[in-house]
Formats: sequence, structure tokens, C-alpha cells
Amino acid sequence: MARRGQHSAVRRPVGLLALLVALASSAVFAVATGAVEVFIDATRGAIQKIPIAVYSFKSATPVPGQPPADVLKADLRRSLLFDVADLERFGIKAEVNSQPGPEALQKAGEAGLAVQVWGTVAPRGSEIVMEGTLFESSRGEVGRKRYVGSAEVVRHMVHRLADEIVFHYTGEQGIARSQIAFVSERDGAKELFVMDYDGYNRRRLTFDASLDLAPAWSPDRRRLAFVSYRKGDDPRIEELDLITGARRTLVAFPGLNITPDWSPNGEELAFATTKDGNSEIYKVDKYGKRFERLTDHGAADLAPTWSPTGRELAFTSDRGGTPQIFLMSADGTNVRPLTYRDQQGGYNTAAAWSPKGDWIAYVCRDERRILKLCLISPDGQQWRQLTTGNSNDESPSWSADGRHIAFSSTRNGRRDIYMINTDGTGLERLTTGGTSNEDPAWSGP
Amino acid sequence: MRSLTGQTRYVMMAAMFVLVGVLALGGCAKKNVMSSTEGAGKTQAGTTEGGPSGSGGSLGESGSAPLQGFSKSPPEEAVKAPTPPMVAKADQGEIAARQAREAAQRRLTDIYFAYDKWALSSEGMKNLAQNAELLKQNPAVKILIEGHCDERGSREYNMVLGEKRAQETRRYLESLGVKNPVTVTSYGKERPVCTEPDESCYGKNRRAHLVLEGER
Repeated sequence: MARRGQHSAVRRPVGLLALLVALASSAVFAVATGAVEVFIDATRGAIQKIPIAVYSFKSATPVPGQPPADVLKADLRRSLLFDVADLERFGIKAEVNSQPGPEALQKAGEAGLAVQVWGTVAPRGSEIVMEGTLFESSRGEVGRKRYVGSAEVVRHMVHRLADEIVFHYTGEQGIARSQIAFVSERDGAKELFVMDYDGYNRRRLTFDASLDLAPAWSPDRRRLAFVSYRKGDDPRIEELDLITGARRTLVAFPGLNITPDWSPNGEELAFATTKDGNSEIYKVDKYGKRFERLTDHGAADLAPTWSPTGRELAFTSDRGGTPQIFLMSADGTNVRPLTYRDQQGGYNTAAAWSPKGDWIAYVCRDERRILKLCLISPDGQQWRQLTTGNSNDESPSWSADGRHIAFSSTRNGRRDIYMINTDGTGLERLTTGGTSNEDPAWSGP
Repeated sequence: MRSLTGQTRYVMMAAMFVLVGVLALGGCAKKNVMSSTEGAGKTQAGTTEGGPSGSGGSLGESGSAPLQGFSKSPPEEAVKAPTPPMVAKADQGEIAARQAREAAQRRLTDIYFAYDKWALSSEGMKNLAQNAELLKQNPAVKILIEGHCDERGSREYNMVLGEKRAQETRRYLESLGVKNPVTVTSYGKERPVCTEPDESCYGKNRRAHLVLEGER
């Protein structure tokens, strides 16, 4: 289910500063003042984005799949930091021969496009070399990136370029290289899969012909904890090492062992087990050795999600009669309700704490008994329903930049994985294959 | 400008920026810069504990190699496919054993529950009472009780709701004097018998499923 994101420990916002300086003396000063807002208000949706021009990538060799410029434009749009310009609208040709001419660059600058990007793709032996250039209309070339790899990874070169651009202007890692693990139903069984954050490059991870559920990323993206029924009746929490393929059992108490979530530092796994007769929340160290019980209540406590600081957990409890979201300290003390039946409705579960710490997403059930996604601030002061309509929406999982949520939805008949911005815009369907796709877990950057 | 180091240049630019900000925007721009710095601190605080280990190369260089920034003469960066070459291999023996075991299981009548509820209905109790007689005559038979739910609860909470239904069923059988070995589990809403989104189907999925194992 939910995952916590890791961010760059080094914040380096020099790019934006430099851009501002450059633009301050230019004709597009209004853009520069707007760009400040990007820096401050990036998670709130109502932001002034940086206008950017993306030219086609001159390719000296056929590249499989989507044109690199289209991949880059989609990445930059999803960052929610850039306003990707329609160059034709300004009378500028997007098709360029290795790089835009001086007239095009000037025209784009005069049109207010503060940043311009282009690239080239060329063969070298059996490999592909991709180069991308970042240009500022008032300052000239900022710099370039140069990638080499097989033709199959051109898409990932572009994702990397997109994250470099985001990093340059925000000091944040970007999400274009992130992955989404999920559960797909195949031949009546549920297996683990993983895909790029934009739904491409789907790979199957398990072949258990059983039920593998609830994947949770380790913060270093190396391991997935998940729930598996493959040994028989009792679901256990297992771990799959994505480098070695090794799997091991982390939690196998008699009863249900469910809803794993890694702590932000990767040292502990919080989960729920029914070994004590009813569902309680525990944590265990990463070696699967030292267990600590966090809740002690006759009602069901489950589905823990760590705050990004690792100091608190949100979880689901039906101690008030119906499932609601509660908070507690990471040692199990200071338990208090976050959602209330008379305010947020009678059924609230499956919390996922934003990597920025400012929101908790969860599954709320409306009066029609339909599951939707809701957002509440950890202090309970702000609340809103994120998704609407007749579909069942479930299993929210945050992107590392805290600006998107992946979830499962039945909005097109079958259950598939979608992403949506936290302001309710930007809905995208990410999966199509299999009988159904659900339980997304979004990796760190 | 060209002779200055990058760092010096940025310091100069920062100074220029503040100047421009003060001149053009008054205190407003300056305040924005300050709040953005606070934002940066907050982000860092949330992540220092779990900084990237650097070994997360499972998903390829593209996923894990640190970003290096733009450069006028960029070094070449190798990008690898983020496909983990290793997947968890199927354990055919384990799958065969599980399937053989399931094939040898016998099933009793399912016990149905009301929406969101785990209390037994009077009809459920009647059915269990009939089963109890059969079980008491075969005390060595093992009973597995699986709790199931309809799709209108969240997948996480339905796990424990199914478990509550199974436990309630076990308690009632025991109250009737059944002493057979009983194990209880839950599949939440992961194994529906029916997938149409209507009440007749939901009702069939809200069930305790009793499975018998061993000699009759």
C-alpha cells in the first residue's frame, strides 16, 4: 500500500535563482516573479508555472516507441512546475535540425518562454547516445546532459533528463524515474508487477499462482515487502530483493499478517497481525527479528502508515464502532482520532501519509456506499474529497514529490491503476492488461 | 564573469537577486525567498533519516544513479534498463502441493452475513447447527474457516472484517459442542465468488466458507 518518499538530502535551488536573476532584467520579468511561486507553493496546485519550449529531438537513428520530445513534455507537465508551450501557436517550428536556430530561440524568448530544451539522438555501435540541452532565453545555454545506453532505454534517458531539469529549478529529485509496484490478476491468481511511473515498461515479479498483495517499497527502492498466501492459509509478510531475486519471510505469525509499510529510514516495518486474537499493529526491524507491539485494543487496528519524519503513524481502527483513521507516536503512545464519524463519515480506512507530511490520503466511503479518496491534514484542520463519481477508488499511494496520488479505480468498468494530482486534476490511467490491476505502491525518486 | 568559479557566480547572482527583489518588488519578494528556504528545511528534515543508500540499483542506473546537474561539457552517463532481471521464480512443488490439498478439501454450505456485519444471522446459525452434528460425528476432521467480504469495503479493512466473520463462525460452532481442530483465516475481498456490482452478488460474497480436511 502506501510508501514513503525519499528526497534529495542536498537542496540546491541555484537554478531558479539564476533564472530569476537572468530574467529580472529581461522583457519577461512577470514570468520571473511568477517563478518564485513555483518554489514556494509547488504542492498547492495554484502555481505560476515556468513556461518552457521543448523542441523535437533530432534523431539520426530510429528510436522505438514514443518520440523523446513527447516523453519529455509529458514528464515536464507531470512535474506541475512547467507550462509546456505549444510552439506552433507562437509560429515556431518544433522540428529542428540538431538545435533551434537563433531566430527561433529569440522568438520563443519574446513569447515569454523562459526555458528552452532540445536534444539529439545518435547511434554509436550498438548503443544510442542522447544529448539534451537546457537553455534560458535571457541567459543562453545552461548546460547539457549526455546519456549512453541501448535503444530500449532511450525513454529512461529522457526521464532522467526531465528529473535533471526539475532538480535544476527546485533542488528536488523529480519523479520521472520512479516506479510503481502493483498487483495484477492473472488466471485467477494475484501477482506482483512493477512499471515506470507513467505506466510504461511493465514487468512481472512473481509467479506464485496464489495471492500476492499489498506491496510496500523499501526507501532505497531495492526491496518490496508484500503479503503472500502462497504457503497456505495464513497470509505472511514476505520481502523480495529486486537485485538478487531472493525472497524471505519477514512475518509469519499464526493468523493474518497484513498491511506492511516501511519506515522512512528503512530500518523498521510496521504491519498488522491477528496473532493476539484481534488485529494489532506491530513493528519489526529490517532483519525480521525484533518485534514491538504498538497497539493494544479489543478492536481491530491495522494499515499503519509512517509520517515522513518517522516519528508518527496513522492507522485504521474500528474502536469507535466503524473504521476511522487514528494517529499515534511511533512507540505506540499518544493515540488519538484523526477522522470522526459525524465529520468525515462512517467509514475511513487505508491512510497514506504524504512524503511532504502535509496531507494524509485515505479511502472514504460515501453515503452511496462507494469508496472514494479523501485528504485530511494531520492536524485535522483541512479536509477534502479528492475523487468523485460512481467508481470505487482505493489504495492511495503518494508520489515522492507529494503532488500526485496513484490509486485503483473501477471508473472504466474494470479495476485499473490511475494517477491524479492532489488538486483533483490530471487524471491518467496507467494500466490496461490482465483481469484487474490494483494496490499501487509508488517508489521513492 | 568567465574567470569566476561557479560558486562565486551564484553568490553574486544571489546578491543581485536580492537587490532586484528589493527594487522591483519591495519586501514581498524578499519574504518569498525566506519562506522558500523554510520549505527547503522542511523537506530535508523529512528525508535525512532515509537518504538513498546508493545501492538501489535494482531498477537500473536510470532509477538510482544520483543526478549530476547540467554542464557545458557533460560527462557521459550510462543508462540501464530499470527492469529487474531477477524475478521470484515459481515454486512448482509448492504450487502443486497447494493445489492437491485444495482438491482434497470438502466444503460445507457457506454462511452469509449482512453488509458490514460479522454477527451471524438466524439462518446462518441454523446452517451451522446442522453442520455441527456432522462434525461432532467426525471429530478428527479438521475445519478451516475462511472469511470473505463484498467489494464495498476497502481491501485492508475487509481483511479483518473477513477474519471477524470467520472467528464468529468458529465461536458459534464451539458453543454447539464442536471440538474438531479449527483454523481461521480471511481472504477479505480478494476471492469473490461473484463479480457483478449488485446486491445479489455482494450477498454471495459476504460469507464464511467452511472447508474440511483429513479423514471423514
